[in-house]
Amino acid sequence: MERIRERVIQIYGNLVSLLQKCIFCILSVGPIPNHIAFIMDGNRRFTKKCKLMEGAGHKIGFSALMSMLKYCYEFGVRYVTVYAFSIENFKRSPEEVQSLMDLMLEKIEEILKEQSIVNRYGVRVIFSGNLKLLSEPVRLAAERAMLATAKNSKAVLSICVAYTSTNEIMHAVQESCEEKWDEITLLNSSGAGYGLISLGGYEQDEMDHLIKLTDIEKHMYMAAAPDPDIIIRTSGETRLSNFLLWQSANCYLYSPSVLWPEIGFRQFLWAILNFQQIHFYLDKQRKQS
Amino acid sequence: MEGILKKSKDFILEKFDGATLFQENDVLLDQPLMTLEFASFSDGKEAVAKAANVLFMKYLKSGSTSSYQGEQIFTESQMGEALKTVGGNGPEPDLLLVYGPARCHLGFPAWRIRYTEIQHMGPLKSMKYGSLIKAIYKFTMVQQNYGK
Repeated sequence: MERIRERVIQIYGNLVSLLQKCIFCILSVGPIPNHIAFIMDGNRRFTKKCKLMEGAGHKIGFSALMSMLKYCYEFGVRYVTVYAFSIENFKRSPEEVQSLMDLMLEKIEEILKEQSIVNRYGVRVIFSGNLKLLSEPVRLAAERAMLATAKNSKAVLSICVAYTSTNEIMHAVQESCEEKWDEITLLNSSGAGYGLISLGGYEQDEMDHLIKLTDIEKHMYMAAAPDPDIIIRTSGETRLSNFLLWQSANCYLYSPSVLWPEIGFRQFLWAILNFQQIHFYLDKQRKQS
Repeated sequence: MEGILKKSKDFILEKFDGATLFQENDVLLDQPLMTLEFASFSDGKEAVAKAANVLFMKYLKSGSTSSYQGEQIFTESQMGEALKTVGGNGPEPDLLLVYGPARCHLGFPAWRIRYTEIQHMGPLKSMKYGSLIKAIYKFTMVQQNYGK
């Protein structure tokens, strides 16, 4: 009896998988997004709604994330970014922050294992954000994960931790200033500076353009990935909460009303269909800017 | 690249009796008249580049550039101030209504839309008073934690 039941579940699973593959085949006739970002909102609300123990929502949310990653990589989306932990989230109670950090540590170890999704799909993992704000064990685990997956080249997973867009922009500006300063110092020491340090040698016009947009962009935490094509924020919230504000100028913002642990194939499909509908318009906007 | 609304702002203000142009140090509360501010694509990334140059000048003039590798030399509020001096940092909108074929903020200055509710209103030609009221009502039902 048990064996028959197992067999039925297996057949059902295979059928669902086949159906998903067929749908992906049909969808790939249209444009496939290169980069999808997720704001995983609603874990705590899910915990309350289903009357679960504290922290359970986040654990179920992690499985939801694994499913979404699977759909993305199977469909051919090369870059996926997730908003795992904002700098603003440090304002939460120390117990909550600690449990989130513990979960992150646990999951980083898990994804580095042999059979994990990261190795199956050849995913390179990048942690984007101000990692100095993290506790040492988490930061070291993150660095280990980045090193271990550095050679993977089929897809990229950017996990934003200790991240906000404003912090990212400010950090990029700072790096650009330091780089420009090093450049000027080098020119000066090689005798070619003509006293640039005192800025006597620059016209006012030149001084206003010492640091260019391209300098700032290459110092962004998210510089390794192209601009996102779709940002999906669950729980029906319509704000970006300081996530990828710089990179989302021509990005389709999709806000399904489901909570993050409830997200599934249906929402993924809907996001892709909507994206394909407006792709031409967004592409045109991108070329104009 | 200045947007078409910015270029036509005098013409637009003429049409509205009860509106004034937004000034840099305006306080938003209890305004007797509606304040209009026209922003365009150049107020986004390009303004940040200009602000970066302003901060760089400060960095050089301060003279203390020796051992700052890795340490934080700027704060977000300094960045905000620099953006204000180049004219790219007005108040943060609470609600952003997007008229067009897609829900997309199209490069609205990043520094200002951190917690802005972005609502898609459909195409410009189907703009209706009722949809506007509905959007404002939806906005009043929102609860923000700001990270907490």
